Amino acid sequence: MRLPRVKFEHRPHRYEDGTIRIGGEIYGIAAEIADPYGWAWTALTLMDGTRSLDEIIERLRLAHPELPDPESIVEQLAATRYVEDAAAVPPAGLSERERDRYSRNHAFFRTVDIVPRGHGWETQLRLKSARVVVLGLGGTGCHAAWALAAVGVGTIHCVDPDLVELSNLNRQVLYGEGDVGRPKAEAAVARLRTVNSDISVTGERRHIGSRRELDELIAGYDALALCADRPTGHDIRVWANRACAAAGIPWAGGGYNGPLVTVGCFAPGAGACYECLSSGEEARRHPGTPVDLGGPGVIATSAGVSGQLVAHALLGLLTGVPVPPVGTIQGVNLIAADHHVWVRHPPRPGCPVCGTRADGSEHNSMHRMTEIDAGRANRTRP
Amino acid sequence: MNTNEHETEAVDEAVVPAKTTITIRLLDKIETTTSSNSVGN
Repeated sequence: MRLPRVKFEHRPHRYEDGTIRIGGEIYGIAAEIADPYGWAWTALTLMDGTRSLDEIIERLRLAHPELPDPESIVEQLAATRYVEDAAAVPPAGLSERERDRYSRNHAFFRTVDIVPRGHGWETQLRLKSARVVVLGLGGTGCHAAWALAAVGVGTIHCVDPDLVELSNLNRQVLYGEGDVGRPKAEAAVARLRTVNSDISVTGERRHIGSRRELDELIAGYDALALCADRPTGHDIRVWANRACAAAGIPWAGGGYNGPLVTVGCFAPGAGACYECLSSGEEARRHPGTPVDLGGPGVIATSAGVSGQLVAHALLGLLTGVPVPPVGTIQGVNLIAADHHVWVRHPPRPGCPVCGTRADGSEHNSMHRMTEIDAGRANRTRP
Repeated sequence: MNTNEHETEAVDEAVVPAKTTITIRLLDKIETTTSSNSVGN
């Protein structure tokens, strides 16, 4: 790091007792630094992007001659998420137009990133190189695909077998009245290309009727957004779970049951898989209680939350920013503000997708090492 | 007693001074406040 600078969004504040608040006031970002002698405060104040590390250390030494090792304080602070390199040059992989288009993304990712970066565009570059399949272009899929296109995922492939119907227009944001009767995939691709012409959007009218067909569909892609509920909500998710594990790619699947909106976030080799979470939830269900997938009730807001949560989970899976909640289902209950869904279950021993053998060793036949390195899903193909 | 081993340890301690560390404590959920936000226009 050549010219350390405290990020604008994380500018520090000092309390009367000397404690420093940095990173604002949001859980997961903000922090407090105990600083009874003012050493950290001086160092942070000097980190304004105009001085090198050596210059900051020297000035800190002059300001606090009692401090035995000012370089230690400076190095620790420079290694936090709150500091960036003012000398970092924007990457050549993004045009000036893209840097303008995604400037708010840049500020957001810079705020929530827990890993110190150089120019802060690393997350956007990862999105630009990402290839995602969106399966299902209904209420959830429309919002998910729109978000992925708007945020700058470089390649998006949209798949759905249906035609646009009038009753879709209460929530399926990619279609207008003129699209009724038109294949959803065709209309969605046309709309998404107007949202972002700097990315590649393709699509096909296609029904996925088997695990094998899903294997073929996701081949060569980096992640799957599962926004389809046929054949039956559970079956298609089991196919996705196994197909993505075999391909070594992460996936997110969302949906709603009336006002209860949930999204699952999964990556091979990291945390429980969908089938283990589903099994854990099944074990919590009162015996004899029928599975309730909900009726046809859905509005723009519930579909929107569902699709946006899927897209948000995928951003984390693709880039590590923010760190994705792998192996969990999260969600909200739109009629109960105090109900936040947060489902976690351990992998089942012997699970063919994510579990361990009876002797505790990892299951080899399906194992794909997926590192969440700074949250990034790096897959290693067999 | 192995004298050489003892001397080696003594040298190591002499050349690696204790670093001054700072403690960074992440805020807890209950400390998050929501009095202001932005609409992003």
